[in-house]
Amino acid sequence: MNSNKSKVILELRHLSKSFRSHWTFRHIPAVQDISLKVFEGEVFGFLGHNGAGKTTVIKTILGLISATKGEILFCGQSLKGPKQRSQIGYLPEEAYFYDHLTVRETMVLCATLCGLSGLTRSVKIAQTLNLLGLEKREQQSVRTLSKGLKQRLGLAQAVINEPSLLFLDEPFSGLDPIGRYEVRSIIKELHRKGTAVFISSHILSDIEDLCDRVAIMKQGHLIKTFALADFKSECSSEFILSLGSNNTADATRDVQSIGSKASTISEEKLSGAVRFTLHFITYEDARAALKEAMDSGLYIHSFERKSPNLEEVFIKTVSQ
Amino acid sequence: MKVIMIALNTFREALRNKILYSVLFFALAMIGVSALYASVSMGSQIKVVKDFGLFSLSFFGAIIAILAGVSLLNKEIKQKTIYNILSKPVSRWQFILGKQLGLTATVSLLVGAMGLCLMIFCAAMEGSVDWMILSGIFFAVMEVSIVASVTIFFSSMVVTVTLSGLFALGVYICGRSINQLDYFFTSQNHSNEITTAIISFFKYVLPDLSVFNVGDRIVDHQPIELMYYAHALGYSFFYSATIILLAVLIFEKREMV
Repeated sequence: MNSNKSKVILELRHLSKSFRSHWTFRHIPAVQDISLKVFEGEVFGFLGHNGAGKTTVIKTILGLISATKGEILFCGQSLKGPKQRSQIGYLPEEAYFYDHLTVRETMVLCATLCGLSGLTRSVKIAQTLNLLGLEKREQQSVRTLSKGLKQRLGLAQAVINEPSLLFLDEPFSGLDPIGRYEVRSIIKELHRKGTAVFISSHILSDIEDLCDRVAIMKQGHLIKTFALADFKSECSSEFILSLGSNNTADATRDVQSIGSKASTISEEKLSGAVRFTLHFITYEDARAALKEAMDSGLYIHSFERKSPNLEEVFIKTVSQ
Repeated sequence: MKVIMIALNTFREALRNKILYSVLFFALAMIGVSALYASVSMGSQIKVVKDFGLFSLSFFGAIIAILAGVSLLNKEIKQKTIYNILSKPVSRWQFILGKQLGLTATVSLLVGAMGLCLMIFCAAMEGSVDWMILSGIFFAVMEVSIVASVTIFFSSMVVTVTLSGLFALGVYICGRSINQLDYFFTSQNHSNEITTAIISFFKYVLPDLSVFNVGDRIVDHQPIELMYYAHALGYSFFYSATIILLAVLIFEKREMV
């Protein structure tokens, strides 16, 4: 991934947002003291369980709701008025459109609101519809589009102004595997063109595939920010050796010897046979065990290296 | 350009509202029925039809403005289409002004259509076209643009559609009758200081819709001076502008949760 991390495009400084209860007038904190930076051209993943405050942060940045405290900087300047939003694109959690408009009319509306007009607008609309594969559906009513196509149209309206920063709130929600793949490809294409993308999603495999850096939110707090490349190199892998035998008694004795340096050994009894799974922390221990297993005559089912994925890190982080 | 685009979109959307056509049809049916009623009433039948028709322009125009306007902002927020608009480089004042212009254009078109039907109906009865009805259409449009602005104002402030509608209808009814109430309480010695103060307050705050009530003059073919047209236009413009400014101030603070 070709992220250019020299310049900060978005910076949140001690951002807080609380909502006031209608009945008790008590302030209910939704987001508390969030500080983070997004760099030019990077794909930034924003994770958290439901109600963690991800959408609140995005809406606050976009000015849909006001921050209680803190500062939002876009390209080094305070993001307050609508003017700077001409450089920002946004795809809401679900793409909401006017049912009475066609795909083209929707694009004309969005392009005009982004300040485009005349020939520039027509060219930009044509280019964007081509990029999103919607060129043949220009005259189709938005009402008749499938969920996947609506999501594409949502992306089209979000990128019509060629934003330098694009916010995607749950862009894969409700999409089938093909739809997800297509949206992922479009995000990669935008990233290749140098657009910074800020994605909030629950689908961690997609985040892992797309993002350069990730932040994890929990109950309104930002609890962890890390680069995926660092996390992959820092997190220790484990080695798993799976052995089998028809002679349960002998096999148990051999495995106790082979697995003397294993961190865990599990046993699974099958009909007339037994299978052992041994976990090793170091490669050297695992290799020695594998050699011993081959000499002992046990059947080797598999030998693999397993790295922790983002999902495991996420669950571990939010469970702490 | 952005304001015009929002207005155009509002206009297109409002014209698809089937309830408005039901009201339009009902208003036209009422004008037709008034002809039957007029045939058994004393005096000139055509005068009764014109009088009732001009009142219908105002009343049903206001009903259309309230029905179309009351859900405009609420629907945008509920269906979350507003996210696509306000996340773009669009100010909230541009959004509100666009909505107001779109709504006023829709209601003006429907009031104009009703007025033309009334003109054709009267021409068929009289055998000649009464061009004074065009003045009636003008004043009705000025009146309903105030009602449209008031409806947008309540929509920007009140969360429920029903309450916004009831408040806007209340303003229309009070605006139409505030002069009579003022006359009743202040001139006839029926009031104490408190009621006089309340009436005075409402007289300054509520729109004086009697400015647009020129039905009698049109029916009697009394000429309306050019200055009076200008006064009505100016009053409608400035009252609408003030109320829309207040709506913008309220809407600026509204959280799009």
